[in-house]
Amino acid sequence: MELTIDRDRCEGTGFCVRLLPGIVAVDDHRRAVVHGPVDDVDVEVLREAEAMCPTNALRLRGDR
Amino acid sequence: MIPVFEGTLLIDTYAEAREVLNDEQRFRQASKRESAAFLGGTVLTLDGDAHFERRRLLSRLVRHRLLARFETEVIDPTVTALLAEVESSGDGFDLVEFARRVFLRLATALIGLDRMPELDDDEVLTRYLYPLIEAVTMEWSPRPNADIHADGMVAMGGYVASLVAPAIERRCALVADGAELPGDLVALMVAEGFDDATIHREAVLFLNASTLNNATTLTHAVDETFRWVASGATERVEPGPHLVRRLVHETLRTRVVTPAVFRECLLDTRLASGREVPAGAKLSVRLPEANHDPAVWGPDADRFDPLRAIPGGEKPYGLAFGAGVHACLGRPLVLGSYSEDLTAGMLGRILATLLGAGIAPDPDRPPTLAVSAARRFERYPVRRVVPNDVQALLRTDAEATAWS
Repeated sequence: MELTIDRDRCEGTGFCVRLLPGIVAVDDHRRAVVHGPVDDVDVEVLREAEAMCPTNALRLRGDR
Repeated sequence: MIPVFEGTLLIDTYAEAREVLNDEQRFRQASKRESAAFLGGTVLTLDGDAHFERRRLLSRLVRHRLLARFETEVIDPTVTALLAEVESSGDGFDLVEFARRVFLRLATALIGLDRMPELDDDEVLTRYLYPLIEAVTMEWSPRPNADIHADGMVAMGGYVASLVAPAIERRCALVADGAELPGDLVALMVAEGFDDATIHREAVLFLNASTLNNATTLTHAVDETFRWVASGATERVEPGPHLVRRLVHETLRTRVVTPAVFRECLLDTRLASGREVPAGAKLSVRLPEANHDPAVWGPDADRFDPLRAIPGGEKPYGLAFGAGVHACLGRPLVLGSYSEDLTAGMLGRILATLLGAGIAPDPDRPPTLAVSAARRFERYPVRRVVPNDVQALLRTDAEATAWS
């Protein structure tokens, strides 16, 4: 399963950072960036992060 | 005219509006305080951790797989059935009421109002929805707030007794039986153990949010589209897949439904523009002005032009949905989950269906505006006019054809 963030869509709301600390962070331009693999993250939390993103910037691909 | 509230700082440039809305550390939610009896403790008015957790819960309602279901199982059949019903009269129909009926079905599904099919649409709209719309937007109404509040409380009591309380009761019974819960607002909140009063107010918020703004935008989209085509500005249109989406986006940008949202400054601060804002100041963030800011949208910012070039890094609809942690929860439902796949967005789907069917403004019955600072139509008579220029234009649009 892969987590991607469309930087053009991201507005830096930070919901994903709160849900996925250590995996996602906001950079100096207030855009979210993925820092690490999501293999060990609860799928339900990943889906929550995807649904919470107000700009649809965060996207999950693949299955587990 | 949008009223200026005494003691509030006006934020009317795009840059300042975006800065304020995106910074929950310096600016907290201050909207709808006069409507606390109806919206207090909802995802709209909460802040901080409580807001995050509520939004986290309610975001389950707009998960991508659910969006597709809403579009194909709720919106499409409702639009088709209602169009057939209203057209059978042969006299045309009021687009405002039509749109509210369509989005009432959406609200029914989202909230979980099981008893809705037993009730009459007119009764729900007239007795419950219309007084509640005024109650949650009373800051924009010329009527005395006390009168609006009283009418709103009666409407809320009827709405809860007729629709929300039975929904809670049924879901509580499902929980007691260990049965699977439906994926709606009431079920989510019952499962999490929320008290009834909080569920009632969240159900008021969702009823209004699902119906009022969407119906207003859809009506403006039809209106703006016909004006734009009549102006002869369509010479630049080339056959392509995105015209309907552009029509929706440009309507959202130029016809922002909410005149302003409010924030309270938490600490003495300086905006990037250099403007000083003292702690405790209440800010009126004027979304329509921000979305017409020539510094971002150019000297023709006021013009409806769905073909306009979008400034780099900006959304084509600007701040129509707000921004930051309080950005509209329903945006994916309105616009679709992604630009190219999965779901098309319900506003685009409905607009394409109506325009594709030849629905046009009724030349014999001009529209009327509602008495409110929020610019919206009270009535917008339409009828089928076949062929018409808009319909002909959309026939060159692959996306519209596919949707309709």
